[in-house]
Amino acid sequence: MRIIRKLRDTPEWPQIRDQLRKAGFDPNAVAKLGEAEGDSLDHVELIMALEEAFNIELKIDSRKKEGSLK
Amino acid sequence: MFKLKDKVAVVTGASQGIGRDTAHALAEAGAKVAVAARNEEKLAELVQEIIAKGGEAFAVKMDVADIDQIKSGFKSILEKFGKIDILVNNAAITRDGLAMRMKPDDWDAVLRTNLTGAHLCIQQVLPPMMKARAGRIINISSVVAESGNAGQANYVASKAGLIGLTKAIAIEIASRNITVNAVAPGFVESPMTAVLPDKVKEELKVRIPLGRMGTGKDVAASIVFLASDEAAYITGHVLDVNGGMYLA
Repeated sequence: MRIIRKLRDTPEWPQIRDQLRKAGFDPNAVAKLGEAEGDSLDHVELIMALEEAFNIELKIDSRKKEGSLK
Repeated sequence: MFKLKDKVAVVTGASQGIGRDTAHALAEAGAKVAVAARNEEKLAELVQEIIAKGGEAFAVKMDVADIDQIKSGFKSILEKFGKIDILVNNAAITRDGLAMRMKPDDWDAVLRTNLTGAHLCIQQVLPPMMKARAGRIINISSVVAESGNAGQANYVASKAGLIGLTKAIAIEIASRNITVNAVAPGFVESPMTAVLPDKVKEELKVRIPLGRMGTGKDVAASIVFLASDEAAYITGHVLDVNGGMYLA
């Protein structure tokens, strides 16, 4: 739980990245977002903040893999 | 007594029994209390009682077996009070019967209300609590979660599940300064135990070292403590409030 890693290393990142790109976010900005470090809760909070700030809903399938956001 | 001034508390299953006494106790400690249950009339009475004593309360019709009602209920609480500091997952039902003859619907209904309902309510309060970097979640389990009880496989499983849920989420969100604890009442005078025959009640008392059934106020006092600032370093704990009935 306390492992610090990058958002782009989580199983959910491809879905998040693709949805943000589809929503019209700059691909370079999205790539930078993937470099955000933290534990699973940090990443969940980051996604919550994105959803709130941009009034979007990021639909993420839990893949039941170790290291998943959920 | 412990102070909860300016805190906002939500109590599910608040229309009667332990939930009702807990709502009163939280309000007396200074909290603004959102009382949730299926019975709107009883909730309205409870709100009036709390207001009459100088407290603040808000009624929310909510069946915790219904995820849509949970979502809309917590949304209305956040709109009303702007935050949630304390969640007391108290709503529970029984559908007793011997395990070998228990109907799937009776199993499902009890697990859905008692365990899944609590989990879904926790999901609703976690985002605001995580943002606030503070929160208290108190799940009402039961002595039978630890001791077992014939004829209540569904209820016992749901209450034991609440203890597991408590410990798992306590670890998950400890870094956000949110504590998650369980209270395990013994046999308490309530509508749920009022239906027991007198002979059964007398037999139960023999098994309770303190020699009496508990009251809703006994349980409510432990909940107020766990909700207070003084309990800040307690998480993942199961607090037995059972008169010494089951000494693990």
